[in-house]
Amino acid sequence: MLELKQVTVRYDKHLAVDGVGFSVAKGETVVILGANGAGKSSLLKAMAGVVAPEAGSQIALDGTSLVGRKAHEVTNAGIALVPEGRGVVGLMTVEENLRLGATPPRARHDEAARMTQVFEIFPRLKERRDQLVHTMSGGEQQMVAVGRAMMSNPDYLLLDEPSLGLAPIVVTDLFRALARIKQTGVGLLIVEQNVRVSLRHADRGYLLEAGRITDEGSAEELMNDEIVRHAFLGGDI
Amino acid sequence: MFEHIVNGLVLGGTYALIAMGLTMQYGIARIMNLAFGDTIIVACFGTYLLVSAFALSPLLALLILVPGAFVFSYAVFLALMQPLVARAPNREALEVDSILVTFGLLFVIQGILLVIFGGAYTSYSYLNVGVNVLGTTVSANRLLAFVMALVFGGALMFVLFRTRWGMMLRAVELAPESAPLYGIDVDRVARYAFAVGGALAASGGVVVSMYQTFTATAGVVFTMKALIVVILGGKGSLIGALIAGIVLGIVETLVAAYIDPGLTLAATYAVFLAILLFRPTGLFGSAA
Repeated sequence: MLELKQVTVRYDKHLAVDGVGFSVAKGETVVILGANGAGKSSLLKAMAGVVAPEAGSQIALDGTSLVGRKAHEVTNAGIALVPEGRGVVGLMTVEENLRLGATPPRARHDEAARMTQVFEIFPRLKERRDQLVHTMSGGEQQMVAVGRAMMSNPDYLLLDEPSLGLAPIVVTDLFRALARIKQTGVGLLIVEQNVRVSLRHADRGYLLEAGRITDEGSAEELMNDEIVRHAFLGGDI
Repeated sequence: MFEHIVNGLVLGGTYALIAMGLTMQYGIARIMNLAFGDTIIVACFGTYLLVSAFALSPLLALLILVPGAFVFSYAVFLALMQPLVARAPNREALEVDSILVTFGLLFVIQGILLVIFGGAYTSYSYLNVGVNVLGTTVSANRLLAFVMALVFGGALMFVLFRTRWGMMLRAVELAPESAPLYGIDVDRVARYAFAVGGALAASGGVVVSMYQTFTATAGVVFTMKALIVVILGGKGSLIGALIAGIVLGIVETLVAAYIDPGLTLAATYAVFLAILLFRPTGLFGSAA
């Protein structure tokens, strides 16, 4: 179980995340819905050890606190973040990116098997394994980003707006791949503005507004929720 | 003509080796080390000492000085750079801070060398015999220097492009923000990159001392030339450093042979300006 309590992130005077708490279990897909500037990225960065949350914030993986750990240590603890902008190494090949993804000690022992698994989920990456990532399309680069995160043998996969900038059909493929990853027992936490697609693939969700969680429920409940409908869907599905 | 090309290759190979060392420190660890050239000079004097006082071969000196420089550079990073890394808000700030600290380090090292060895031009004689290479005579020490530059440069390339450790180093250089998410300990990689850079500087120093005279105050010139080669090749590009180093070596040798030895430094800057006018990012640099 990945559990957050009273997580607060502040940049100087700007309060980006304000006392947020929620949980994700393994094998579950949780989506956090929020508009631009709602604090989605800051929340994920705090979870991944990229930014330090304020004192009093609690982030725990199976009861062990992750607060104060560096990003590479969090990755090795079993939490992989696919950041905004994908965070791939553009001047390296697909295969190099994937192999680099297996850097944490927890991932070393069965790197080859995991690479096979990633290639099963994303056959395109196998075809293009020797291609430089920056020459690929946005959708393919997102596959590399998710693939390299899977290479770290994560218990939880955090994705920061994976659908951003992708064509609808590519987004559908991507979420289908994420569903397969969920079946392997990985817990997925997706922050999104794309409400329709993400709720369709989620079990539960939270609504993040101005750094606070203002609503939560099952995917179905949220889909029919007045606030969500007004905030994101123009009142009409 | 051919003789000068060969000599230019020897000099260029040395420059390339030294510039690769600076690339490791600057491109990966993001430390702009102004005392870099002084590490080279320390290795020159170290070789001189081992050869003249202990009658060791410079090749054996290499086995002592290169690991020594690795340990020394690692210690310098821990003592002087780690505090800067810890407090720097971003990599740009770290670059500026490191310039100030290593500027001080430069004078400490130079001062110690001046006290021990004085300020005179120093050299030793090793393998100072002519060897026939495709019809021209080249001194054996230069030829050996070239082979050593090739071996060290080749070993570095192999490590960087064929091993997991090298892959991690390149990832830190190419995508410092993303590297931690891959599970890479960026601080640790920076420490080792800095130490490897120092070791390459020392190997360059041993090579240089075999065929050139050197003084305790010549470190600055090497730092400057290494910087020029790094910028010419494209910041962070090892292939760029290799090619730019060899180009510079050949240009300097030809200018010294056919125009005037006093103009070598001017020629260096002329090449520098000419290339940067047309390719501001260097030969192999990317726009970003």
